[in-house]
Amino acid sequence: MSSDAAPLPQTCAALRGVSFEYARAAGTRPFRLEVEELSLTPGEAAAVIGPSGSGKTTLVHLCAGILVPEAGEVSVGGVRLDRLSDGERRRERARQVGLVFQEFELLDYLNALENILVPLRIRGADRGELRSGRARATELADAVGITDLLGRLPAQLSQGERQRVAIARALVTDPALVLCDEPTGNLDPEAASHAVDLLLEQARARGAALLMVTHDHGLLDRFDRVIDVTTLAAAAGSGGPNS
Amino acid sequence: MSGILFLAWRHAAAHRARTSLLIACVALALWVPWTAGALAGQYDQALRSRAAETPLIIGAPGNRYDLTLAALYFRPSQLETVPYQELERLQEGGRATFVPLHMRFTARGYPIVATSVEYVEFRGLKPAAGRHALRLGEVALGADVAAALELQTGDALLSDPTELYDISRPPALKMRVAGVYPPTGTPDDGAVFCDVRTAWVLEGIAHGHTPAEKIDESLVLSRADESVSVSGALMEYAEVTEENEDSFHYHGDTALLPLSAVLAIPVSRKDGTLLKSAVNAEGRFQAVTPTAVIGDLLGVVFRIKAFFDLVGVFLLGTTALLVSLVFLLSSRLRGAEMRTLDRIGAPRRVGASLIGIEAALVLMIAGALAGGATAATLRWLPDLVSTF
Repeated sequence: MSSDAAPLPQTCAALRGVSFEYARAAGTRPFRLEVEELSLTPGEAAAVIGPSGSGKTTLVHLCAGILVPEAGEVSVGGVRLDRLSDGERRRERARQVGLVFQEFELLDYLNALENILVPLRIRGADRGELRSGRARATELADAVGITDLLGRLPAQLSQGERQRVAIARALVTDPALVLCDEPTGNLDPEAASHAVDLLLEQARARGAALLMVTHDHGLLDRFDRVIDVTTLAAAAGSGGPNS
Repeated sequence: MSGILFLAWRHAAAHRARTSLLIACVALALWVPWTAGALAGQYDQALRSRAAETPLIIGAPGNRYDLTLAALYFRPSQLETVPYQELERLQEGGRATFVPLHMRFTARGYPIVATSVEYVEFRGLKPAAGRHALRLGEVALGADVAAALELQTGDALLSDPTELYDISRPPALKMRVAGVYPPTGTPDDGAVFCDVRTAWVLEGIAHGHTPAEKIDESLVLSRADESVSVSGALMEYAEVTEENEDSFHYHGDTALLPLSAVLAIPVSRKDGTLLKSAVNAEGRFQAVTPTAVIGDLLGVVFRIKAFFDLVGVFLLGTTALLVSLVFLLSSRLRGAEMRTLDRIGAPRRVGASLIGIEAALVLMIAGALAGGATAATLRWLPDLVSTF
């Protein structure tokens, strides 16, 4: 972490000189991920590819502030996550980062609308914020085509419908960065294609940067940039579209 | 925090059956010891206060618990009697005011407490309607009796026959309700008060019938200078009225008329002590201090209660452990949900907060239910003290 380094450019998310290591099974070498520089500008969409165990999910967790690097800078929406305490990072994550998971991870006891509003609930939004959040959730539901399903529990929704609820949940806070960890892994090809289009369209419409881990190489053309996680240590940030 | 509270509430509401079962378990586990404790407290307080208000009881030798419980709470018992002359003899000593008590009979199931006006003065009973039962054949009702039997001043109340098939025993006596006492929260509320002479009519020791000189000659078996023998067909009055009241008379030695017990209200503490020791030294009767007797009795009762308290503690402890187990298993089952919330940006230890708040909600609702159930039980359960 060098405070003397040149300021990061106006980005939604940026990693510079990041180094992260954790121990794996006894007797094996520890896993190490290094990122020389990676930045995402507003509206930019990047796909992250790489073999299993190469650090794709670790990269997403570093960008979200779930993991803290041993060295280097991580900033989201202009806020240096690596300098914050655990509680502050959690607050920033709830405010600035939208997350979409492979299993969607909706809360089974909340209906679709309540699930979309969970990021606002957990960060302790007041009544005014909840009111405007509800309006935004309704608008998002309309945009992703689940307006008629808002009162249903996850168990009453199809896989594709659950995915759309998860997308709306990731965007309800108007985040600077949307992180998706294999969000199409459980969908059939048609639904997967539709979900990615939806994510790209909604993220771009809101000026959020999108970083998506995927194994589906058929979807890569739709992204502004493709990042191979194994090459990040070299010069990931320098790649252009489809690098 | 309000967001976490919302999630906890929605989780509890979504799993209604599980939550209701938990609430019911905790509420039951709380209700049993709370109600038992409150009832024991009420019982203890009511028994002790009644005993403390009564300085001394004199009765025939025998079980002092029976004597005390009969004299204080009108509990049915087979007490040996005290002849009325004993009360008169005690009065000559001037150490106390002596109140006769006779409690062998019932009227529609309620104890008839035959006494004197000193009793109602001593207990501070002032009629809410009508007046005290001063005349032969009159009764004054405790509040519960009047309410249960829907009787008021001027109505009639029949005594319960003691020997239905023994025609030598007096029939049921029709008694006039002279007054009704207000509720006092004591056993007096469940009693039918009358003058001690009325009890002797019920005993068959006193009765009234047509004067001998006016008896139908067909019922006269023989006449002597001093006596008239009449047929058993001569009807005794089954009701005391103003017209026949003067015809009521005693047969035998009036000094031996029976009493169940005598309440003594000593002039001073010293007089009470001297009176008690004198009666007990003489040995023909016993004088007991109700507080001591009730103290002994409650000592036994509360040793048993201590055992039930222990059972209650184990019950609560077991329930607490089972409820903890349910929440522990629940937290395991909700592991994925907690990880999701953690990754989205929920505060640290959100899982513990969710489980804790849900447990607190269950405890609060169960506590409120148990409190309500305890209050309802105390309100609707028959008064244990008056039915002791």
